Amino acid sequence: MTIRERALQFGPGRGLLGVLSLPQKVDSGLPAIIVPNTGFEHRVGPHRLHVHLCRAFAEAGFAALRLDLSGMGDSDSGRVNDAVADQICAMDELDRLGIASQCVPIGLCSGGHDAHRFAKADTRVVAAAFLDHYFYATPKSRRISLRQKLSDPRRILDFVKRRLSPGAGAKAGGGIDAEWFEQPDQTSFQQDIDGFIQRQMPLFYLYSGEYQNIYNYPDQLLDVCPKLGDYDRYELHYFAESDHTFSQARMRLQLIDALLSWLHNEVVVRRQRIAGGGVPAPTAPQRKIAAAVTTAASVNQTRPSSWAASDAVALSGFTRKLGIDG
Amino acid sequence: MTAPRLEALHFGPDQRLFGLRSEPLMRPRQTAIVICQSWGPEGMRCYRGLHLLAQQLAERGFETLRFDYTGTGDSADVDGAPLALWLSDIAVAANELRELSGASRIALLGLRLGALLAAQAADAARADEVLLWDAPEDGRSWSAEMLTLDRQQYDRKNRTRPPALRLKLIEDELLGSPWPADLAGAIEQLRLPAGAPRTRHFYSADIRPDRDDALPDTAQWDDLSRLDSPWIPARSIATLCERLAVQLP
Repeated sequence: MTIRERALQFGPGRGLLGVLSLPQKVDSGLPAIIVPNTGFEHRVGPHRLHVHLCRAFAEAGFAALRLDLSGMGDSDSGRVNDAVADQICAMDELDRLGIASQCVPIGLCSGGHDAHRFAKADTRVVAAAFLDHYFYATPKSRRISLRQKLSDPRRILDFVKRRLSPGAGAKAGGGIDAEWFEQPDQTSFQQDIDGFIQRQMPLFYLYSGEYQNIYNYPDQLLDVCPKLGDYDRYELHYFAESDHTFSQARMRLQLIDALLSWLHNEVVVRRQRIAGGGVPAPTAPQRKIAAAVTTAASVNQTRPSSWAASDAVALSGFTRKLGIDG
Repeated sequence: MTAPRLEALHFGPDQRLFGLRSEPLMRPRQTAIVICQSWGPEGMRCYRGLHLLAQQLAERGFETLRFDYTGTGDSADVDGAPLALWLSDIAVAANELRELSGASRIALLGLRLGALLAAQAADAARADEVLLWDAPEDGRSWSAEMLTLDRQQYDRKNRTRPPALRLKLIEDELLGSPWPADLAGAIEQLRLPAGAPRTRHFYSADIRPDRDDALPDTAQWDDLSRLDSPWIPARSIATLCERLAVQLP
């Protein structure tokens, strides 16, 4: 499918700027995708991830906006650090243009934090995807981390070196740098998820293998938030072989496939079922553990036509896909 | 003070290039400036800084155009030899800015790899001035720095990963961006034309500490940890704008 792109300048003083990827024919009944900044990087995202994502979404029929929040990239609205207001403004603009009246924010790292807060604040958010945003260690993740450290001579050596020269060099590893955002405490996070579940929002969580000392097994998030496990409209992925910014092309492709498959199942198929008078997916939790992120069928349905078949990537055995309705 | 007007636009063949035009609020100067950014993570790190540079140049009466080379940033992906396309993009951007602004003179202002590209494209772009900020000696030395950062990046990421999950080098990618052999080879051939007319050099404080006219901020282009944060050299931007306001009509 051919897509087109246009820049949007809107908000206070037309100070917010985003680039909108559009399918050939806009279906305003579908939610638009909104992708806020990741870290300090402007709207194109790390390694152009947001560009690849938005163009793939547009090829699959969704309008997709990669957005510079105020003070980032090319946006200067006069507001400071009000990512929620900026995203609400973006949704207002998409509505005003007749492109969409609902949206799905998708955010990586600080973008996930911003997407989470936007989803809490605005009921026009009908689904959301969070990538490497909030990390909560568990007893099991601590055990795994310790085992990893003790079984790796290089890390033991690094540890000894650090102890012998205090202050020399930063501690290796760690989670997301706190300078970007402060994650909610675990209780608030669980309450937020309760709210999303009450709204019946499809949720997509993905963790990379970057922060092994904090998140290191596939269903760790379920140990943090057990209620999620009883919910039938979520997906949890663990891309252990990826890094935090999806720095290799194969990692980005894998992520795009997973998100397209999720959007297809949760938005397109569901809408078709409802339009056809069918009953939406069964609500009983159905746990699937797959060796691959996406099934061949869903890839074929959703992969943009411009992608060569050879782009298909053998996906990680570390990945689990949980709770997807059939 | 009201900020200069910023306009996003698509231009060039098949509208494939994405650009941002900063328009002065005052009567514009005779010289308009095309800003040529660097590549990959270096370009990302400098993006916000160049946004501020463009807006501050516009405050001093220079109309500017920043843009993404073909296949980078928000511009379209097309088949073809990347470097040849990028050089042609600079000439296209110069023509676009000439037309949009009505300026009688065009300057190219390039940062790092963008400086090498601007120097190379100056004739095709019919540039009256070439302004080079932290221009590397040549493409080979710039590529070598990027390659070193790439290896350091892998080493850093793998330090906390168990052996089974360690990242492996990808042949035709560099620091997370496509790095096909034809692009690598073409960049290695880039040279700064010796004694080129109409050319002015600007250096960050740590690049040429021996020069009295070095800009006040450091850049630390070879420091891996700097790739994780934006480069916004506010004092250097202000100094550069002051100098250009004096030097260019």
